[in-house]
Amino acid sequence: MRQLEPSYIGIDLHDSEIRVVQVRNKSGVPKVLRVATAPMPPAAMVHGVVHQPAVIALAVRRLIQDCDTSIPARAVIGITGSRTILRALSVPPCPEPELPSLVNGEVEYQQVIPDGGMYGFVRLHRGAEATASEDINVAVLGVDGSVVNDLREIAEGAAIPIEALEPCQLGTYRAFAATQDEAASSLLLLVSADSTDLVLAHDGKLCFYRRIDVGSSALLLEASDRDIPWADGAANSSEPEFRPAAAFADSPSAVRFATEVMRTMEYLAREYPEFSGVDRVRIAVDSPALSPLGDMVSFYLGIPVELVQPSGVETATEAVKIDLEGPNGTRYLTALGLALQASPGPATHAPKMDLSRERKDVNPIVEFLKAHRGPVLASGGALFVGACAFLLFGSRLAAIEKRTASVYAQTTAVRGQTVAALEEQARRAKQYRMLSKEGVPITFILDDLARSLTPGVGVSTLAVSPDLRVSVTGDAANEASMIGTFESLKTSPLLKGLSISSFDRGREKTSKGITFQFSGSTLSLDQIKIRPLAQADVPSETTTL
Amino acid sequence: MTIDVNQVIRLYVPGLCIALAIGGLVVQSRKIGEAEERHAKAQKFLSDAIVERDQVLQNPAQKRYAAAEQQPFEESEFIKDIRRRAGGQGATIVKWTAGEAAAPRTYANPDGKAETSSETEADPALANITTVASQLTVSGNYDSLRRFLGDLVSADRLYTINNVNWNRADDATELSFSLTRYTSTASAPGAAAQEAERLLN
Repeated sequence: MRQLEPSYIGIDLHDSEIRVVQVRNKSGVPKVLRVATAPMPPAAMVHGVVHQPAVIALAVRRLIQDCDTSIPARAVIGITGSRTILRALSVPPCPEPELPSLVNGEVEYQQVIPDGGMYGFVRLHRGAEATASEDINVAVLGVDGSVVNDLREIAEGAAIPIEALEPCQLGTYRAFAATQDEAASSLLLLVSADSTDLVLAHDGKLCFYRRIDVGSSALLLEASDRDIPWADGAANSSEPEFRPAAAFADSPSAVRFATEVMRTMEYLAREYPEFSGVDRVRIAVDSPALSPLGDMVSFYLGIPVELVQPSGVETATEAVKIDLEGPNGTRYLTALGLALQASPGPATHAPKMDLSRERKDVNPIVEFLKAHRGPVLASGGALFVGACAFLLFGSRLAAIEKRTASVYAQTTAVRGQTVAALEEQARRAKQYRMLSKEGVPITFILDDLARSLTPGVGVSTLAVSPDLRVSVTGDAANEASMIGTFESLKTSPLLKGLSISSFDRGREKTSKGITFQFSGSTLSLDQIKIRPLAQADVPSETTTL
Repeated sequence: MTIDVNQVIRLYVPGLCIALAIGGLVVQSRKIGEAEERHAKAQKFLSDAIVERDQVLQNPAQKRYAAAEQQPFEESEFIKDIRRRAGGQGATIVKWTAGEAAAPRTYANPDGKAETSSETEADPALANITTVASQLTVSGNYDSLRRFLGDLVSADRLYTINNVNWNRADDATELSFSLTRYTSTASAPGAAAQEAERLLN
């Protein structure tokens, strides 16, 4: 089941009157369903201050009952200008999402809003010549917490849910934006009970905001003390020539009003040259009795001042249309603007504000992250990727270092094996060298002996004792051959101290020669350089002992 | 001169972060490159060390050795070796008598003065060496006996010959001598071998 789109009821509370306008958005077009007024109960509201919220709630409830109750309705209640706090602030240039946090910081720093109060702000744009490095101007509109509580109590008593609590000036401006053809540059005079807000709009954007403390209460009070020709003129059509300036000619408040407007125009021309074409001045009043004020200001400024009328919106009935376009139409201007807060259409670009909601504590970190989402994401992403890669690279680096250390350890081990092998080989060589001393060079002795034998000499025995003593016995044909063998053997480097121990010819005649014995000593093996095997170990074929 | 904070946050901070990330990566890449170079160098050292070790093991400076490891079949292997050498040279082993095992003897100089230096008696290189003497008598002609002796003294294993008695007869020549061989028990590995074993494990 399709849910019905609610209607919105703008409620404009004045000291003497309650004004409501009901608007419904249908097919994207706002339509005014009902307009109504009711007298404010006596003393329930004085100078914009709510004294009897329950009484006001009852009056509002009765008034709402006159509206179309077949559809659900939500209330946008206006906060009178006298109860709103206006402060113009400048903040450093920043991205749009960051602006609320900066404004919040300035508001808290300058203590613009009392504790428990609510505020909103409107950015004031500069012209096309403005540079990005210029400070941003904002108009802060705030309200004390007690005002919000009073209005909430009224809404609760009237049994209507609150859509928003909005300063009446913004509602009036929205009605102006919705119903009038916005000029390139327009100065709008929003007259409320105790003050008047001067707003410069350029291409639908607010560019300048100023408040002067002259409002409809003072103007009407002074005008009521004298003869009011416009009042007679309005009532009596026989008055041929209507001279509205006369109504406020001697009114100090009116003069001051016009003077302030004129000064503002001069200020704008001086300080905002880009808006030099402020060619139109509009005035929105909250009482039909102030309608001639525009002519009076026009007299001072020398340019036309047009009265803003709540016309141009679609109405449900002809009666409603007449109410809006008639002389009393200006009474509904603010209520209409409030009701249009949630409406589409030409007023959507007008600033909106809701001071009913609790002001959220701005988390500077969250705001910062929101404002700089792109750079933060880029920075965080870069750092994350860098950190991950750094860790991965570090891990790989550690693995390489570990492998390198392992290789170095293996190298050290292999070199240790080499050193151990060399040590073992050296040990074996030393063993060999030391133990080889225990042998005798028998092969070399045999070779030298064989080479030394002269013809007619034969060797019978050869003995080499463990203490290297050498004894050779043999027989020779004669002494000369024995001596020849001895002398030849004497040249052997292996035999030391060789001597002829004995020789014996024998006594028997049958003996063929002499026997002999040589004695000496030899060298140990380690003192001999061993010749190659082919020469040393293979005796010649002719060698015999 | 004023600092545009927004511009700093929008441009410089991300730029700085990206530069930091890239800088960190570049530094790490360089470190990895240097580490890989060190690793390659270490691999080269290792391969060189392995080649050097294999050369040392496969091509020892001296192939000859003094003592064979003392094993149960050492004696029979020795006798088989002697028989093979004698048979190969045409000599006949007539008699073989085993002797007592003993520590290596001291060396005697030709002048009869015994060398009792620490090199022989106390050198740790001979700590595990046992001397095993045997008396051998072989017969044959001169050439076969000479070749047999030459074969013995040129063997890789050290055989020392002492107390030689050569007797020539009309029918055959007989040679008796004392043949000494050496055996060793397994020695404890050296410090270098121990360290190498530890590192490899």
